Amino acid sequence: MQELDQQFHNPIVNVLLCVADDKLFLGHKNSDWTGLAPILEADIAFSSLSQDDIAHASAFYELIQTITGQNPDQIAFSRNANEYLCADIVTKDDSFNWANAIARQFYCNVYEYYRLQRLSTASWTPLASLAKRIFAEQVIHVDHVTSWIKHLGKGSGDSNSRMQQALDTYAPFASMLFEAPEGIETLFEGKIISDDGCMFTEWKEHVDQVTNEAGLKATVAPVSGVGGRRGSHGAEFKESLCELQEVFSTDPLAAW
Amino acid sequence: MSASANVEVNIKDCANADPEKLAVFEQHVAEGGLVEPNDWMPEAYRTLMLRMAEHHANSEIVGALPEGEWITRAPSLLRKLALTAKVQDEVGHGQMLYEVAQDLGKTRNAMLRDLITGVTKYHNCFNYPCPTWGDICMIAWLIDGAAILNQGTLAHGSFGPYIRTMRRINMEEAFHFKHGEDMVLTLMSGTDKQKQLAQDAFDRWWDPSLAFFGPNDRPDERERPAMRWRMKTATNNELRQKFVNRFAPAAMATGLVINVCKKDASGMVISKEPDPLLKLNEETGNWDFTQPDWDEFFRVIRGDGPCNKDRLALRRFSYEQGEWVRRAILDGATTAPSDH
Repeated sequence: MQELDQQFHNPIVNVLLCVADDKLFLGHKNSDWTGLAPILEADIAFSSLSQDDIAHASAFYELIQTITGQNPDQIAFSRNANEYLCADIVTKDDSFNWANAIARQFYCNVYEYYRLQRLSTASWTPLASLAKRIFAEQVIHVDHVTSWIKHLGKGSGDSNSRMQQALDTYAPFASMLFEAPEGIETLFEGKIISDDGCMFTEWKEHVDQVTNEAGLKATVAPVSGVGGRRGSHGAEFKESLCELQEVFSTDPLAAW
Repeated sequence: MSASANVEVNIKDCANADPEKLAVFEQHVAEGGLVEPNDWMPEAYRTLMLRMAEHHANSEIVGALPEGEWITRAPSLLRKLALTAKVQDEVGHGQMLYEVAQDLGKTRNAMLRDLITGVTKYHNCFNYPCPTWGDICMIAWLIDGAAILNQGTLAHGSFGPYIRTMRRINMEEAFHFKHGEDMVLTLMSGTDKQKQLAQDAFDRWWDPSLAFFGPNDRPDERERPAMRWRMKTATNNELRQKFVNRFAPAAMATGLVINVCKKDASGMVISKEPDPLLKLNEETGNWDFTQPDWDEFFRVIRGDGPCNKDRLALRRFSYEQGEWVRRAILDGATTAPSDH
């Protein structure tokens, strides 16, 4: 495996944790729909997407392991809340409202599409090749959720207004996906990954195009502030974390 | 976890069937022939097969609930993925089985409504509590193990669409069982606390596993429609014995103790003693064992089990929460959007 200069270790681990933690917790929340989604076929599809996300997270934890030597399960299950670097939108509760789940999925999936696209061009090849592999599946995720946005947006007056309400509810959290991980400038300067300065614009154009076609509107403005990417999380993340760790934490050293 | 139907059948009514057609039908089935949806069949066969497929489908989607509640708490990345995939499989089995039932004349929506309003039933074993991760391990090992034994025989039945579905489901069940076995072995080779977790869960699930196959055989079991028409090919008692022969030695080999337990109304064990009858009977070659608590079994079947209300309430919640989605996009059809 291509060696990464020591100075980039911490910043790259931060970036990898942002991806892995986003995917772990989005998959975690979505997996909770298995058996409860509105239509059996949708249930099966949504569960597959959640499994993809958890598997993608595992792959990123394995990549972190090549740098830190930590076991992926230990990374995934045994950190303190402020050591997780996901954006809080991924654990924002959906109250088993399908519109909420789709809004969350839509904002996150489109964001992930552009993030993985950029990571695919990383000069550190282990990251570039992993991002490329996962990007292919991310395209399917985006297609799937786009289909839902359009069907619910155009479905009926009722489904349109429910979907609009969900998009509005999740919009402020969506902007926090773009909070920069600590040390990312070092990776830009070292040309490890390319500068993603225009990512919000690209994401917003994509989101607007889909929502416009669906007769919906996404009102998301860029924000600054400290949030999940720096380990500062709200109550809903902490609830999800407790649930994630419930069995594992009864004996963190045991094999399960 | 799959659980095929032990649907109560009281269909004597073949009186209206054309005797010649009925004779040809019965001979065809007796010779191992398959019945397809558009073939002539006695109305009682259609009714019974529909009930069986519907009950089985209901069991799959209600069966997804107790395990589904543990997906978010699974203690490793691998277990989390495997459990999600397993529960997803159950939903998929439900989807396939509702298709089978639908071909026999009842819409999926009617079946889902009948389920949440209590008109139709699902397998009794899902009315027991699942309070720990150990229960997840035992369900996948014992209940899926029981389902494989049962469905292995159902795959030799007479209704073509059902047995083809059963063969497909059984391949997935084999994975579920392996997943369960691996989890049980992991716990039983783990810490003392993990072994205790496994034993406590085993105590809760041994009885429901024995009762899984349904009540004891009636004297005329083989003459009843389900067996006469080869919808079922083994009796409840035959399957139960096969299960004990397979699982009693396997459980003991892992260090688990087979107990006879008394439980409270919430399904939790309040006292236990090692099964006094448990031994390999040299004469019969079978394992002798204490029968499950049939009084409890019938009480749970009547709706008074530890979790009947919770399971049905969650299923109803899911149905009602999703109604606006189905109304918006399905417009009477039964498929989800696949294009965009």
